[in-house]
Amino acid sequence: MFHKKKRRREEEISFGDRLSGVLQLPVNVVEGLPQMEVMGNKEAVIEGCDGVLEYNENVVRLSTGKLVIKFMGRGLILKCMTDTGVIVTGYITSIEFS
Amino acid sequence: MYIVKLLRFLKGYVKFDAISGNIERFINICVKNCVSLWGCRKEEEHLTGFTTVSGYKKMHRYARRTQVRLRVKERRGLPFYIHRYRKRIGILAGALCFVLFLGIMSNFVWVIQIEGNERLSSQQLINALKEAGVSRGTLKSSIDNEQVAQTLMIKVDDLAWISVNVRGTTVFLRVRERTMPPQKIDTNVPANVVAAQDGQIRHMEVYDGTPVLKVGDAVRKGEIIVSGINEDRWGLTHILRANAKVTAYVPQTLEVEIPLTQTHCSSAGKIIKRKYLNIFGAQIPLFIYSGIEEPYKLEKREFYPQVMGVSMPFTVTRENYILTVETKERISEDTALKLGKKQLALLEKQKLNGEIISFDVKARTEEEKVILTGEYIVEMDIAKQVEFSVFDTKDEKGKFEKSGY
Repeated sequence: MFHKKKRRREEEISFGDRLSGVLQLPVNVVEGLPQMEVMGNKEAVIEGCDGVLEYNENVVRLSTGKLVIKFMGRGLILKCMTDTGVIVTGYITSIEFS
Repeated sequence: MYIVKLLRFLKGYVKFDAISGNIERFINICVKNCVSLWGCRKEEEHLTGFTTVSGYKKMHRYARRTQVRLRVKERRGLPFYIHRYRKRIGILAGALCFVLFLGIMSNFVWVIQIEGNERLSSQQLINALKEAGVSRGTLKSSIDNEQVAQTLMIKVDDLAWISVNVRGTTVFLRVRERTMPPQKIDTNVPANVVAAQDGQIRHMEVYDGTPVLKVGDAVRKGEIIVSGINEDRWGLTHILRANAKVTAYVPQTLEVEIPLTQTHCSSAGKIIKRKYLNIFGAQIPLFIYSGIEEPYKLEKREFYPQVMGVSMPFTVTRENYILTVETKERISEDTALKLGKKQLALLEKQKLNGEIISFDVKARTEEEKVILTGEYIVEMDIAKQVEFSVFDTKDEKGKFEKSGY
């Protein structure tokens, strides 16, 4: 019983988390996660974006390797796009991670 | 952000419209192939956005691959403007002339800014600067700052320090004025106090020397009032610099002539205006010449024109010729007398230095003129120090004694 609990806790805390905790490094650097900066509900800057999966004026779905980020709102615009980052502007109502 | 916008404008950019097909895939392929995209907006099946000119050229093959139909909506930026007006040589020539004009004019002095002057007027310094070879319109490369500063130090006495700097098209002149030392009076040089005017002495304050005259005495101009030679009680002679304040009643006469026939100039109601442009030493008339009938009154004004607060390196001279009509009018003797009294009062203020004790005005008419003669008694300081030289004859006397005389 005690061993099962311990294993489950170890599964929840990944190697990347532990490494970043030990070396005091940012999690996104160690695990290759995207970096996202949100200015209110008007603008979001996403660094480490691999591509656009879905785009229309109400939904923007971005692939960031391990995660898929979904922005929902009204009048969404891809303000600027480079090979590593995207700026999404508009009236953002929700952000989902999957 | 403005820099980015400026760079985009200079390089030129395209507003495109992508319809149908796989829009998301099209965007991804473009981004992966380093095609810059910005301002992308999707409305129903249309995607509108902006890209660079080179990016748009690349986009076609990606559009074909993703079955997207691509169209140009707008072309913006400098290359497109140039292309649009490529056949209009006038605009190009005008732009070239403007750039050339700016380039040439930036080599000349436009403004002279003077700081730190209090007693010295700016005009005085500008004139001195002009004599040193620096004025509006001077070629900047011909200005040697140190030499100009040295020349100004020699030309203008009241300067303690000066710096000349040329920044852009402005000459900055910073000055510090000299604190002048008080006038040195050599007290070793002996002097007498003499009368500067004829008069009767009313008051004497003798600070040094032996008074020769006393209060109530009449004195003539140049007569000694206080002597610089003093004899003590042992009969020894001392030579010193006499100093005194001597006030006296001085008679003064003023005369004013008023002709009974007066000539008046009145405006004929016509003004001829003329303008000149003064640039680089040349005066260019800005009018078509036509003769002007005399008599006229000329009003002349020279100024630096200003554009948005910056004064230009050239001046404009404005001349107004006010045509006049001369009329002759005979005035009565009473009116002439009144005019004469007014003129006499003005003359009193100008010429009489002192308090007027009494005066007597007499009027007479001679050859169509009214002559007013004012005789005044004025109380004023008449003391004037006059230095005198003293020769020591002791050495010569010694020589005579040695030679046996």
